[in-house]
Amino acid sequence: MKTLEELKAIKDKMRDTIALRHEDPNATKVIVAMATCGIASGARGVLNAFAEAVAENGLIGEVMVSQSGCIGLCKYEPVAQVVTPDGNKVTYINLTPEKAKEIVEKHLVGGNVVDEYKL
Amino acid sequence: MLSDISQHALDIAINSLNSGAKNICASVSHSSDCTALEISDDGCGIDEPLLSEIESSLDSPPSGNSRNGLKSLFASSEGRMKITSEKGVGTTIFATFSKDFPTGDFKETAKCLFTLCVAQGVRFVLLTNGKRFDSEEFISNTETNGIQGAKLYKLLDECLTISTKI
Repeated sequence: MKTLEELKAIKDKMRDTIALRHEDPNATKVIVAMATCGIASGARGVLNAFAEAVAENGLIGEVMVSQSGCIGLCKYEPVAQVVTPDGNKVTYINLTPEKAKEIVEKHLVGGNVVDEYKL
Repeated sequence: MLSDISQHALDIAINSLNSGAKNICASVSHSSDCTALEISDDGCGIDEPLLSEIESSLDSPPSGNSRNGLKSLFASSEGRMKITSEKGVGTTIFATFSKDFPTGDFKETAKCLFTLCVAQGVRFVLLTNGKRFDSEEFISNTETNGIQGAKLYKLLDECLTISTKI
């Protein structure tokens, strides 16, 4: 088992090269609500679908998929927010893995908000 | 309430991420009479008064939050749980469940944690009945072999299918 110092050195080295790491402030963020209520509603599959669709559409490096805690929309979960670099935020509700894939294709790739899934 | 062990593991591991951990290790193993889950992290840890409060709340009637979900879970699954933590060092949660309690889909939990951990610079290690998945080793191997994008996630799926098989 490596020491914490060795792990930190590995992490620092990876930071510059891992394609999946997005610290670019210009990256679009997809934030999936992953509190207990979200997980119970199926947020795990939604997050996985977002991550895979981002990869399939060549958006790694431009889009970062991450989690948040409960945002108070429990009855609408799974919920995800798409936040663009200009600060514009779109909240999508009652998501499924299929809807997540569609949002990546239509909103993130095509630039068109998917109104029927919006809050 | 979460319906299986893999969902509880994800819930706990996300707490580890939120605690500022840079290393998270999850272990799940089956024996003839129970399933054991252990998740440890090097996050901020829990100070003693709060730890006592958490342990006390596990003994109180359910009120709808995740701790009482765990209490109900253990009551129904003949399980038990122990939390050890030290402020500034990290936290370990160890739990056992009746062997009949649903294990759930650890591959989906691992995929989710892989995405979140790599994006946040956190090392994630999953041990399943002796099989090991290490997010940093996986990333290193894919980088060495020039595997990115959709191919990376396909390879991830294959690796996790093997490493999470219980």
